[in-house]
Amino acid sequence: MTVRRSDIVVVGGSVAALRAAETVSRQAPHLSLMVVSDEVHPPHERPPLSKVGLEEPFDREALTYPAVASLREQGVTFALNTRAEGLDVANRRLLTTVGSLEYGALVAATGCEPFVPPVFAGQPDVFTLRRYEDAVGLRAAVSRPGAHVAVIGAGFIGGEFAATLAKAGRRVTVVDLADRPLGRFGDAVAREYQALHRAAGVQLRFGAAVTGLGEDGGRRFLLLDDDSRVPADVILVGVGVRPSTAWLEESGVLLDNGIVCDATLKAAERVFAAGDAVRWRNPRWGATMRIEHWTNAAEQGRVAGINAVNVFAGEDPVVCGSVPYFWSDQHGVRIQFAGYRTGTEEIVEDRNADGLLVVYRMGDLVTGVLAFERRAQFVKLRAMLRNELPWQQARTVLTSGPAPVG
Amino acid sequence: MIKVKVDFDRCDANGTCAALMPDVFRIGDDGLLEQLRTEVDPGREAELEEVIVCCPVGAIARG
Repeated sequence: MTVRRSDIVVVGGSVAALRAAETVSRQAPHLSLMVVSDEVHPPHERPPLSKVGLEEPFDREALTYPAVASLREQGVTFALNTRAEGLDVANRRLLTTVGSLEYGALVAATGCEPFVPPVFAGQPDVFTLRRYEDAVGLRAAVSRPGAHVAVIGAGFIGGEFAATLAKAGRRVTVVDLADRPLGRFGDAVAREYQALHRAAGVQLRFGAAVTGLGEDGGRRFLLLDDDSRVPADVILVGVGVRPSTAWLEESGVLLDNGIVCDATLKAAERVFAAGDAVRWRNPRWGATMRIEHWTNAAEQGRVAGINAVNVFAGEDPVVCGSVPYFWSDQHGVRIQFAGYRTGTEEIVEDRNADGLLVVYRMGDLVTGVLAFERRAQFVKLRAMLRNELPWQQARTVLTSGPAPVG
Repeated sequence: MIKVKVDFDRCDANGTCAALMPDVFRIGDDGLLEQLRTEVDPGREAELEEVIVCCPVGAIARG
């Protein structure tokens, strides 16, 4: 096979990869640039996979990032349907299913793949939500008249799709091993989340393990560990993801539930990484973390792109310091979190007629904020969290003035 | 100066811009985005770039 060459190679097909490519193209249009993705489609938005209503149009062209077209016009190559299979750091070669590719600098942005527990693996009408085709298949399956959907995992993918189904008047049950999903954010958050879904007519089976699948009169059901059954014509699994890093296993790049990077997202000589698969030292928090959320992937793509260009420019790499953030719209309520918690924080609840604001406090510092609605106040706290945030400063944003402790 | 454009038809009031450049963007008490300035100093190019790439709906652009 012939060996091709590109100054910068970006591996991956999602937002981190795209933002890296956009950044390279903008900052160094003279460099040749190739995006290698195992998907058959160019990078498209993923948040809509769980968020778009069943009655709304769901068109791949409309979901494709507009930047794809402009990058192609600028000569960027998208090598689609091409899987990375190995990386030779010493010789600067990416090994793929269609041959080797020499690079000057590489950005690894392969993200994560959903984990499917063995009880569901290979079963019909079992879906995860990662790719466009997953969503198309799931939406077709749930549109069958009378289909009852079981959502496994009450996290954000599961919660959002349950909300999408409830809005369309479908029957849906959410099953989770945890007694109190989102309980890691505190009791108030877990209660609020549960109440939100109950009020919308979503059946909840929390603290329940699926022990098997059965069939009765041609209809499938989940068997739970208390011997009860949950109708499950269609199953959506949203129990977590794992970094897609098999292609790096022989490369010498350090892997530890993700690609281990320094504060500049450097993983190896001339290799940077971006997105959900990255475990990096975040200088804002002085902590090593891996974050599976959209804005983190976008921002890391930008930083990795800058640093890939800086290899050619002979400039020092820049660091990636950021405030982890996620948002989720469920039953018309926006849930948002910003910050980085260790889990040992004191939880300060501030509820008013508009919603619930929860502040996580460690001594004199605030480490995070979670909100159901309360959008204006949330964003103020999110902005403040870019720097070390004293409790006294954060307090000024809260409305009800919760009693200070200590 | 760099012109800053917001596509309010796309805007989802996610507020990422308001968290990154609070003097340019703000989430109002009604939960919707307000644009406080339409131009920023050229020295803030990198900040604006971060805002543009981190907007989940791609609603922000240079003018």
